[in-house]
Amino acid sequence: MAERTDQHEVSAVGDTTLLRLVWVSRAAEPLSAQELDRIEERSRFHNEAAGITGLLIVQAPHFYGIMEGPGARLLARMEVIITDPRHCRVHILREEPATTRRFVNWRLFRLPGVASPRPDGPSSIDFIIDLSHRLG
Amino acid sequence: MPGVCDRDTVLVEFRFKSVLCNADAAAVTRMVRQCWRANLRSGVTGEMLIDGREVSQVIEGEMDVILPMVARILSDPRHTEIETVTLGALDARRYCGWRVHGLPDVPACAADVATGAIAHFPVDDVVATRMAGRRMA
Repeated sequence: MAERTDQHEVSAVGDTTLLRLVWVSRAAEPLSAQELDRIEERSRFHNEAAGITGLLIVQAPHFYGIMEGPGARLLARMEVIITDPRHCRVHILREEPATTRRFVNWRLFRLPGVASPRPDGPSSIDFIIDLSHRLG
Repeated sequence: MPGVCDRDTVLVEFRFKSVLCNADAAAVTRMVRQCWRANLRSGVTGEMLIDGREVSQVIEGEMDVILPMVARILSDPRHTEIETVTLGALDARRYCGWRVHGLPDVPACAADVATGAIAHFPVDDVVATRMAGRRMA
């Protein structure tokens, strides 16, 4: 990859800069429990190796993620998620330098889906949007 | 993956540990009082174990209530070094109220005593086991 023109230019962010990302996506296809187990296991492995902490909430078909860690490694992980065909409509709600970590670990959590959400009721996406604003 | 449920009946629990940035008795008492009020108002049950600066907490309730509470906790500057343990569906509540164990010994005001907002419950082996997996010093 000779040229990189995307906004997440890895070389522009020093690896020691602590960054925090809040993002949402949708599963491109329904994921089985086994596929989620696999995602959990691999993500935990890669995130621990990269010094990335935070959490990923899966509420089919949505993913809500918070990740914090060394800038270049974090952006590299985010790039993996963005280019992963299992995710679609990946939106980064917040990307900012962080002075300190909020989390000491990384975990994946599964929440039940909702059969018939009330149009006027709170939805789980409000949770991550609220959190994104609060962390700012 | 948990089954699809009707929103009104989805119970979830959130378990986490954290380190308080300010563990002086007055600050902790203030936090406990706020938790108690918020939990009573919103039907949240569970317990909190305070051990010096370290806190282990379980909250359970309806998903629509717990998720905004999780957002507030995760962004609350009083909590640092947050270790998330569980966030997931429950078949039934495990607690019938809200208790705090290990509260620093401070005089509670009369209103607190009357309402039970500030009550001193001992940290016994049963509690310590229930909140197992506390971070070791």
